[in-house]
Formats: sequence, C-alpha cells, structure tokens
Amino acid sequence: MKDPASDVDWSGASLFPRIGWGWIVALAFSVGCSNPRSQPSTVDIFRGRTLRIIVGTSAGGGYDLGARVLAAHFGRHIPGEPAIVVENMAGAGGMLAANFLARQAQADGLTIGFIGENAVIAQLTQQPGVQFDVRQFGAIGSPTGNEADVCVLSRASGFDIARWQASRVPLRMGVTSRGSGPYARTVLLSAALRLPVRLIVGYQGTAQIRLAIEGGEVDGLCTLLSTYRSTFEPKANFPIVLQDSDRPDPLLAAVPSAASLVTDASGQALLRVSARIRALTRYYVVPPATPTDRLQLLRTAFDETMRDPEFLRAAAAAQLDIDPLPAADITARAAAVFDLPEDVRGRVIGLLLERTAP
Amino acid sequence: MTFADALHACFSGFGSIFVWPEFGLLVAGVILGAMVGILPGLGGAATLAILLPFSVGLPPTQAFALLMGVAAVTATTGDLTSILVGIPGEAISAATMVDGHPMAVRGEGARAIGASLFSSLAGSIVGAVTLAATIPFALVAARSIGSPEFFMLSLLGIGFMASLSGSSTLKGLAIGGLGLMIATIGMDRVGAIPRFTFGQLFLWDGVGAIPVSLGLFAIPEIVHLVANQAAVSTDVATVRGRLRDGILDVRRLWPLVLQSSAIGTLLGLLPGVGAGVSQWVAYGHAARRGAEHHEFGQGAIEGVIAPSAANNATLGGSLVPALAFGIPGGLMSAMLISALIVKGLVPGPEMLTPEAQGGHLTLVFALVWLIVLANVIAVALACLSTGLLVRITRIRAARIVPFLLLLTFIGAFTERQVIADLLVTVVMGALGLALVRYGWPRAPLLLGVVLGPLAENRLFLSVDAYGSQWLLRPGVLLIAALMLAAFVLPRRAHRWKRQQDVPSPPRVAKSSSFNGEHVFILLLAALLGAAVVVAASYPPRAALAPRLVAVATLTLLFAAVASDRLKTGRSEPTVSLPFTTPSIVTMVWIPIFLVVLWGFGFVAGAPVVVLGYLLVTGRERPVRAVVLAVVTGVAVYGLLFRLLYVPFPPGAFYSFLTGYFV
Repeated sequence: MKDPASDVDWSGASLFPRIGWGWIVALAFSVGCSNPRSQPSTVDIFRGRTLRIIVGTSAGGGYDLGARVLAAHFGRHIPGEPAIVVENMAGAGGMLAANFLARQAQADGLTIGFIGENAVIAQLTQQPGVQFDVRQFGAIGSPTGNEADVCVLSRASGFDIARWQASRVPLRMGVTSRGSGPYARTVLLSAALRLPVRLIVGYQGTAQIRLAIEGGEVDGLCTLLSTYRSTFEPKANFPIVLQDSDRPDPLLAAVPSAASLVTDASGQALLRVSARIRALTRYYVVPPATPTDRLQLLRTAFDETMRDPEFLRAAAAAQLDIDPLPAADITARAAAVFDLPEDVRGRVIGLLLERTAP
Repeated sequence: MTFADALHACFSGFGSIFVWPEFGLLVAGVILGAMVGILPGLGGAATLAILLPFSVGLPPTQAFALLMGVAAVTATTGDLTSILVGIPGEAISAATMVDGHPMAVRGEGARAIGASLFSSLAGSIVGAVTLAATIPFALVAARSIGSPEFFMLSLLGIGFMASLSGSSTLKGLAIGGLGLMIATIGMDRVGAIPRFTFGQLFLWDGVGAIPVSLGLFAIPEIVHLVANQAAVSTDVATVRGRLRDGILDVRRLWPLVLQSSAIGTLLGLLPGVGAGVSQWVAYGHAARRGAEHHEFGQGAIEGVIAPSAANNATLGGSLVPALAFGIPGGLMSAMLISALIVKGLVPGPEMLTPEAQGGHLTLVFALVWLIVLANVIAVALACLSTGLLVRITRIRAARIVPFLLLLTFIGAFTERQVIADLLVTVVMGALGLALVRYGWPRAPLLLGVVLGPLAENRLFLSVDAYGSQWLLRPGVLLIAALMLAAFVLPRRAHRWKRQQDVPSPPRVAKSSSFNGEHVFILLLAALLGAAVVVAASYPPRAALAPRLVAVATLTLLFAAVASDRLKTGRSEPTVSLPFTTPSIVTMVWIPIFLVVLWGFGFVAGAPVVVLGYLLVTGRERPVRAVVLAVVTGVAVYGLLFRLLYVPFPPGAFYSFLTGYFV
C-alpha cells in the first residue's frame, strides 16, 4: 500500500517556495476578520458594538461574579444597548489588567476595567512593574464603596479587644498575600490600635483561613464585613471583636469601633488611610483620555443599573452587597490616598513594606 | 440526620433529576462538557464561569444539572484526546497520555479508550459514593489536617517522582527537581518578592501547568508524528472488538481501578491538591505496583486505567470540603461553590440537614447522582462515537499537524488568557523534545511544577504558625512513617527479587565521546547554577527554596550522569525521536505559528498559518487547503471567540498599527 505521506515533499527548500493564490485569499480573509477597533466618530458608538469588561482576577471569585452579574444588566442602560462580555486578565494581583488599561486599551469607551485596592497599594508602595496611575483612570462607579472592616477571633481563644490590646503574646492573624487589601488594612489597623499581631501570610483564600482558625493554626483575621457574612458559619464560633467603618452597621452596635479606641493623631491618620483604601476595594474605570461625553454616558448608565430592580434582584441572589459609591467620591478618595503628609506617607509605606520574617 | 432521612434524600435526589427540563439540561451540559474536554486547554472551570450567569435564573436542581453535566465529564473526554492525539485534552488528563497514546500509535486506540472510559466511570462512581458517605465526617477530618500535614502530603506526592522515572530514578528525580525549580518562578506570596521574573509581569503568577504540559507532551508528540509516520496509527482492527478488550481490562484490573479511585477521592478531599496531582499519584502507584513490567511509558494498559479513574474520582472528593465548609478542592469546585452561593445556598451544616428542617440534603444527593449520570451519558456517547474518534488517528500526519499545533497554542492561551504563555509552551516544547530525544522522563517535571508551590507555601505557613513544633504533630509523624514504609519496603522487596533472579550483567563504561546529551546536561547545569547566583540577591526566606532545590537538582543531575556512564549502554528504554527532515521542518513551523498567532491574533492568524502549512509543507491541494483554512477561521471566530467568549486578543501587528502602543 502506498504511504500517503510519501507524496509530501519534506525538503527544507519547500518551506517558503511560493506565494500562490491561497496566500492571497488567506491574507484577504485575515484583513477582513481583523481591525476590530477602528475609531468611531459618533457619540452613539455603542450601538451594535461589544463592550469589554476587563477583570483583573481569574474566573470564579467575587470580582468575577460581580462583573458577570453587572454585565447581564449594564447594557440595557447604555444608549445603543451594546453586548457586554467579561474578560479575565488575571496576573500580578491585578497589575496586568491595570497596566493594560493604562497603556494598551483604546480609550473609546468600549473597554472598561474592574480594578481594586491591590492596584492602589501597588502604586502607593511603588511596586516594580507599575505602569499606571490610578488617579488617571476615569472612575465610572463602585457597586460596594461603603464596606466595613472587621477583625474576627476564634471563639476558643477567649480574646476580646481589651485582652488583645493587653496581651503580651502576639495573636496569629491569617492573611492571603503581602500587598493585598486585607494585608494592608490588617497592618494599618493593628498599628493604629497597637494590637500585638504576628501575620501568618500565604493562605489561598478566606475560606482556608477560616479552616486554619478552626484548627487552631491561627487566632483570627481581619477582613471585609461582606466577606465575613458570606464565608463564616456558624458565626457564633467566629465572634467579631473590632469594626472599622465610615457608617457603623446597626447589627454590630455592640462591637467596639476602631475610631473610638484610637485617640492619638498618628493612629487616627493610619485609620484614615485604611478607610480610603477600603473605599477602593472594587470599582469600574475607563482608560485615561477616554472622551468625557462617553465617560459620562457610562457613569449615568452605571448609576441607573445600581437602581435597576432586576439587577438588584440578581445581585441579591448572588449574595452581592450593593451599596454604590459615585464616581466623584471614588476620584476624590483615590487622590486622597496619595495626598498624604510626608510623615504619614512615610510611616504607611514603611509599615506596608515591613518584612514579617527575615 | 438519621439513616431514614439520608435514604429519603437519596431517592428524592434521584427522582429530582428525571424530570423535564432537568434531564435535558444535564444532557446539554454533558455534550458541552464533552466538547470542552476534547478540545485541548479549553478548561471545564472556564466553561463553568461562562455558564454561571446563565444559571442565575434557574432553580437549583436545574442549574446544577447543567453545571455538573459540564464539570463531571471534562476529565472523561479529556482522556480521549490524550490517548488519540497525544495532547492532553485537559491539564488533568496528561498522565493518561503517557501510556494511552503509545497504545493508539500501535493501533490499540479503541482498547485504550474502552479502558479509559470505563475506569473513568468507575472512578466517578467511587468519588460520588464517597461524597455521599463522608460529608458527615468531613468536619472532623478537615480540622485535623493543618498546614504541616499538607506539607507532608505534598512531600509524599513529590516522592512519587521516583515512580514516574522509568528505570532511571536519578534522572527522574533530577528532572522533578527542575520542575520544582520552575515552580519557584513568580511572586513569593509571603515576601512579595518577584523571583526569576526578569521584569515580566506575566511571570508574577508563575508558570501555568497547562502551557508546561502542552509544551512537554504535545510538541514532542507532534514532531514525533511527522518524523516517521504517515498517521498516528494505520491499524485497521475492528473498533468494537478493541473497545470490548478495554472494558475487559477494567474488569480484570478491578483492584487497580478501586485503588486509583480511592487515591483520586482522598486527594480530592484535600483543598488545593486536585486532579492535577491525583492523576500522577495514581499513575505512580500503578507503575510501582507493576514494576516488574517494563511497559510503563510504552503503552501499559494499567497506565491508562489508573489516571483515568483517579482524575474522575477527584471531583466527588473535592465536593466534600466544598459543600461542607465552602472550601474549594480545586478551580472546578470553586466554581460550583460560586453557583451554590448564587442560589442563596451557603455551604455548611445546612447542606447536611433534611429539607424538612430547612436544609438542602436532597440537593446534595442530587449532585451525587448527577456526577454518576453525567458520566454514564458521556461514556455511552463516547462509546457510540469511538469509531469516529479513532479515525482521527488514521488521518495522515501532514494534514492533521497544523490543527494539532493550533489546538496546542489555543489551549496554552485559554488557561490564563495570557499571550506570553504561547512562548512558555514553545520553550517547554524545546525542553520536552530534548528530554524525549535523550530518553529522560517528562512526567516528574510536571509533578514538580504542580506540587512545588503547595509544598513551599505550606512549609512556611507551618513554620510561621507553629515554629519547630510542627514536626511533632501526630499527623506529620504518621505521614512520615507512611513515606518511610512506601519507599523502603518496595526497595527491599526489589532487592530480594533481584537476588532470586539471574546476576546483573557486568558494568561496562559508556563511550566517553561528547554528544548532544552532554550539551543538554551542561545547559541544564548552567541554568541551575545561574539560578543559584540570581537567588542570592533575594531575601533569605525567598531564596531558600530556589537555592535548596537548585543545589539538590545539580547534585542529582551529576549523579545521574555518573550512574549512566557506569551502566551498560543506555539503560532507559528511550522513545525514538529521530530528527529527520520532516520533523525538522515541523520544528521550524512551531515558531512560525507562534509569531503569526501573536502578530495577527488567533482569529485572523489561525486560518493563515494553517493554510500556509497545508500548502507549503503538507502539499495539500489548494482548493482543499483553502476550504480547511476557512473552516478553521470560522471555528476559531464563531465557536471560540463568539460562542464560548474566548477573549482572543487582537494581533500585536494590528495593535501596533491601530495605535495600541503609544
């Protein structure tokens, strides 16, 4: 039987021998399929187009879910009702996505980003690789800009905030990674309140830390109240001993607030920085230099979506807390994180960069 | 929860699936999952992320019928791609390829498929039954396993490198060390120190397991395909007969099926371990168990059955911590937790409480049944289409190669959606080619890449949380004893057996002439030496793992070379990979694919580069080549870009022209 491969000329000379009509067809096809981003000329650029939401985390987590639930409803409120797709651009704690938005994404209103506090902290601590300035992005809005921080200790430890402050042994607090929002706020909170802590860094999520608390590997953690509500059961085993928020939650009336325990100016300054970072936990932006009229269209659509009963139902079903923060507030707080007195700025950066281990 | 409650929930859960549209959604999910599993790199987890918003409006049982249909079968059909074309359909199917593909090459593809499908089914049943039986006890188990025990378990897994090393343990351990070294690339989570990233942000998250597995296994296989063959296989044996042989193999080797399923389930119970590890541990177990056969790596049926059973059993195991505590065992179970939360169901004790008391026990049993039923449907569909699938192996090499290369690159991109992972795949492909050519094992490297981060992370957590006391924990001592028993007893048995056998042949020194293998070893040694030097600039803690691993790997590397020189010729049964003209031409095409896909993007570049290969190297008739290229373009654009929302980036050339780089 004849070997079908024997017809094939495998000689190296045949590698680039001819530019036939097949190539011409292929090139024509490729040109036809390409050029996905030509500059539109009208305000009504959204009609019949696809708007991309770039999420700086991998598929699955809270950021991704939030973006996907928003994507299902946001388009209805944008003139022209564009299709919306969510793209995950995970990497370097969200820095890849932030760099993409700052340097590569077209500023035409058809690409928006869902970024968060990691980008802010990376810029504040001058991480290598930062190619963006969060103050240059055009803020669209945040679905959850009024978060609270809570510190949770194992019920078995028997500690409350007074015993914690007086303890001579540092409590072991679980953290996911250095440079993350919870890491930064745990450091700032404990420094402001002079709480003795030893950070155990490297867990792969809050659920894993919860298991470590149950197993006695760590004593507790500081996290967002919304994360606590969705991750910790039964709550009686994980009592909240401290809260820090701009608007105290009525259900936490009996829990001491950080602001009431800090009396010195230095500690209060640290709490203010922590609060500003917390307000930037997750928010939507457009690339720098996006035309103002398009940004304004997106802001209006976002605000309308946040009031849309259908969206609110879907968010509630997905256990997403919706407590929006308008674009103007985000812009102000992003600026305020960097607009610090020199001594405060130096102390904050020093604390965030301090090594927990040699 | 009483036994009667559990029995009632079990029957109710079963009944809740056999209604419309639940069953229809299950079948739809299975078909989608089967397709995703067959296509390399298109992961089940990413598909679940896409489906999640669509499931928001569905009642829980309907939503999970769809989602579990996808989740339960990607490993089953991923194994088929691994067997038939030598490219892992899923990252968790790489181990099946090691012996499954050589079987396909020698015309036993249908037998391997039969064995893989039915061991997958058995594995999924064991995993599902375990899920049903162990949830009530999971809390106690989870509390007793802390970071020290996780570290010891990862060490146990790393120890399996020796089992994956063929007859040269030293070579296997050295290559496994190289895998551990690759695993240190990226941001050190504790110290926030980027290691070996050379200013590249995409490396901050480390090197992905999918680009590594595709590079190591798919690229050499593609080159091998064109080197000396017309097709994967030209065997014309009847499919039905071969398929039955595979099913009979599963029946004959039922103890191995059960053991591998148990391995898969147990490792699935451990958060963060997952099927990426369990497949290799099960393979290593099979290889150790059948150490007297030297067929492993060349088409041993045990090497197909063990990983197929294990990777399917892992899902059931991983759902135990997911449902009981909301702790994902892997990415797939993380998605399913998201789906639970979307439905307003909080993982925890309520999942174990009967509906009458406000819980969701019936839903848990419905999930158990969904895993089993999804696999039954997938296996039935795959059996019916085996004849069609096996035909893939008879397509002539020059026609199938461009599509295999394209699928390899698409697979490499889709895990993290980073275009630079294409380059990682090519680099790993070059390493894989060298390893195959010089007869070094590849599996230990992949195991090192998967287990390295887990081991390092858990070691530091143990030291930080417990100090040196972690060494005295009962769980640690128990696992240490198990490790000792696992590695000492087989060696003693082997030594005893050797004493019964004929005496070893006299050792003859190998030729001392300098060859390509020596260049390869020197290159590896230089890289490891450079890593030691670069790591010296890191803080001591961030430098510890890379320096320790690099020095150990260098030592093993030289020990392997010294040992090899003392043996009679080459001891390793090497895979033949002659660098013939066809294989060299195909190797030249690999960077061409990379540049075209990077420069023009997948949507525009894929048809161009496929057409180019078919016309220039495949010598395909122009009309047929154009038709195939157009079909490729339509599939990439319509199926992947539009339907499955794979976010292919625009090509760099277009980006440059349209002002991306300002």
